[in-house]
Amino acid sequence: MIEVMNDRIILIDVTGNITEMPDLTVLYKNMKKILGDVTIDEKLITPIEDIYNYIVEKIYLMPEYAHEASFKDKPKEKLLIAFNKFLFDMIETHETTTRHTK
Amino acid sequence: MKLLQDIQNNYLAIDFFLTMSCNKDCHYCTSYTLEQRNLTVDMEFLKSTLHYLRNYKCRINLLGGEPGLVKNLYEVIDEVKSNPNHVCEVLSNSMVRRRYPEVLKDPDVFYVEHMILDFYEHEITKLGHKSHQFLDVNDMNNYNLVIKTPNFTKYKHLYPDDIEKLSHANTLWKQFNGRSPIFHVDEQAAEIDRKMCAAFPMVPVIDFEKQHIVHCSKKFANNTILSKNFDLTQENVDKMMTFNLFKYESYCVKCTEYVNPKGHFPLKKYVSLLNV
Repeated sequence: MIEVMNDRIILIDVTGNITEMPDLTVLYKNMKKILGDVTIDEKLITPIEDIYNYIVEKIYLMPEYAHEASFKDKPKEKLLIAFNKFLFDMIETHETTTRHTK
Repeated sequence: MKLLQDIQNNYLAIDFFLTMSCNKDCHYCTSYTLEQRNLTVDMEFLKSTLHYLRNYKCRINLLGGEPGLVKNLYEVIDEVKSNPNHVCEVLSNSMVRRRYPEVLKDPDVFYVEHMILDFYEHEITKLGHKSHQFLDVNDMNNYNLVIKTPNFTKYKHLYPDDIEKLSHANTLWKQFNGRSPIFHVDEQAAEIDRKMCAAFPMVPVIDFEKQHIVHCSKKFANNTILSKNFDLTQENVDKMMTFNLFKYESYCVKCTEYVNPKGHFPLKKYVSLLNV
């Protein structure tokens, strides 16, 4: 389960262990800078153009790429979907890696 | 008069390959034939293409081949300029300077002259007429283009006068793109930059011979893997301009075309393009 605590992305596993995800926290803060409000919702799965996924991935890899930007509502919605997809993909990868290395 | 930086930041570029014919055979170029063919642009095809693009801000790069060989180049330029959303750019090996000198006097046409070449193994040589010098600093939107090929890098110290003449604001320096199978290229952009490039590549092509859209100029011709192509329709143009047409292809994975590590255009540019 993912929680946002004090603007930090926190992963809580089935046994209640808490892990902070610092890279994703940076991404979250940058997405807030671009989008304003950021909702975290795994159900945001509407198909979007690849370019939105690439932009989120780019912001993750190069945080300095994130500048304040005045996107209109529609592109903002799509960026939010891309952000959620990226976030949950990363969490899933993290969980899989953790499970297999414990 | 438009400024180059404004164009680079706010307009998507599209190559119009008016003809494949060229009077030169640069070793790194994949888009030419010495056979002289299709030298008159089909104006009906041009008009319909521009009509499909009418609502999009784009930089139309007229090239080929060598656009200076095109018989009705002035007519083509006038047509491109007729829409304020479109900026006209001409890339020539200097033949345009000789045959169509008015192009250089029009600051609304970005004239880019590619006149330096490591044509031989042991030296740098110039394309174009011997009497032609590199373009000086100017406010007419005329630019020199230098591709930093391996031999350019190797031998440039032997040509200090030429390098000095090129060292000003009206010279564009382009990273060598590794099109030649002869040269080894050890520089490849990060995968994410290539993905972003693929979404709207540097740059898509309108092929005036086959009259269709080609995904990427890099794989346009003379390659074993050809770039994807699409019918030229309003639907496909709309998809292209809204990032829905092109995908990250297998040839993008191996692409050695240099992409600026910061992304091939900044986030602000995406804002203006995705807010349409």
